Amino acid sequence: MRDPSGRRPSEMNEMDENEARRGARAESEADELIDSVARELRRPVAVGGADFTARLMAEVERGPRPGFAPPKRKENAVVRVLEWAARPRTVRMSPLIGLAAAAGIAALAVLATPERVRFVDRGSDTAVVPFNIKVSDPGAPKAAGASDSVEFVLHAPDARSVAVAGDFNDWNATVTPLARRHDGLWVARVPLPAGRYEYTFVVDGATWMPDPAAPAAPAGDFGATNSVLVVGGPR
Amino acid sequence: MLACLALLIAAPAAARAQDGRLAARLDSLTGRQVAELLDAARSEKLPVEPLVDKALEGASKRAPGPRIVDAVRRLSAELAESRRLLGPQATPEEVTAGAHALRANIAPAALKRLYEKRGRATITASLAVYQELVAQKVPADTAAASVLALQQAGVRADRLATFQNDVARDIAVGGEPGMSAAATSGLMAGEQAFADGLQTTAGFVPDNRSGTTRPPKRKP
Repeated sequence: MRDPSGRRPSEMNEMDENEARRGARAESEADELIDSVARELRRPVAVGGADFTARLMAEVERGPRPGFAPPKRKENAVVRVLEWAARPRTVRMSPLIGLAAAAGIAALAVLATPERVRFVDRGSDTAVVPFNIKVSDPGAPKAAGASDSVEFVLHAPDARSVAVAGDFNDWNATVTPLARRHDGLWVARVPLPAGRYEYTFVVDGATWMPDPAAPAAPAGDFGATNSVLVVGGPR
Repeated sequence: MLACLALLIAAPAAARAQDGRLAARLDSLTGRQVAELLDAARSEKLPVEPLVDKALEGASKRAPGPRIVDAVRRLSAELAESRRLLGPQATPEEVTAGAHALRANIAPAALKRLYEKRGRATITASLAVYQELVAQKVPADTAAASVLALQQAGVRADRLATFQNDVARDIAVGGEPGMSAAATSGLMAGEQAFADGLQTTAGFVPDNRSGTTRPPKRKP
């Protein structure tokens, strides 16, 4: 019986063996080739001598040569600033500094809060507290009859004259004038003993108006309500 | 004639001074009527300076005489009511503060209780805080209860001012006045109770200057 190529079985065996031997030889030769190429690729290549690395780093540090600098992007200062600000950075600080910064931020938040601080007290042993209640420092002895200095302030840039009238000056609209400041504020400092006082501002000698920054007294008997001031005394 | 002269000489110097101030600012009829009210107040041991101030206020504001007299009479009645509620031992300042609180719609029972439970705080400071709360639209009952709670907790007068400011701030950012006052007073009263507890149980003593507490001194 002959195979499709026309060979007899005995011829086929010999030929197959020869074919197999040739295949094995080719594979062996291919393996050797691959190995030799791999050896060659792995062989270290000497570049520029022993100081090549040092020379290479020196070039890198020197920066780009003229003519090789990357083209500058045309961007405006605002963009550059925004990019700078947006770049994340690592900030290192001690816990103590961090606490101090947090306390400072908290203090700013408190101070920035609008306060109805109506009066400023200087030069006495009275602690300044919000609103217009002035209470002496309980730890400090207070001389009998000693007064606290109270500052009356009104913002009236268009007024020609401002005075304050109240229980402390017999409701006389002429004896306690306020002095005008450059910023449109009218200011007067009045020493007052401890007690509760009602008062009102008198603008241009004719307009009686309560203090917009002070608590209002209960409904007035003569039209507009008065404002209330409490100056603290010994407990 | 001689009797009238003697009476004038015998009148207290303060009364003469008051008459002088009123005479200079009031017409004769109004002056006489106000003087009668002042005499009645003195006889009842009421403070008269607030009445004089009220008359002078009316005069400065150019109010009609009858209106001035009515205002003085009304205040005199409030002073009398305050004296009745607080008792004979109340100082003139406390009686006056009580009268102003009554004008601000404090319940008589609340005023009486505030005086009885005044503790460390003065009633004048407490009533001033009460009036301010009412001025900020806190209901009168809530304002009185808040101040009473703080007083019973022994909160000092200067901390009452802090309480007042805290409530105002809360209202300014939209808080309901009654709720703000009640919540803030409860919080502050609780803080004070805690501080008092520390003092009682662990010997911590209040530092009057700073308003804080400090631990007891260690024995050497």
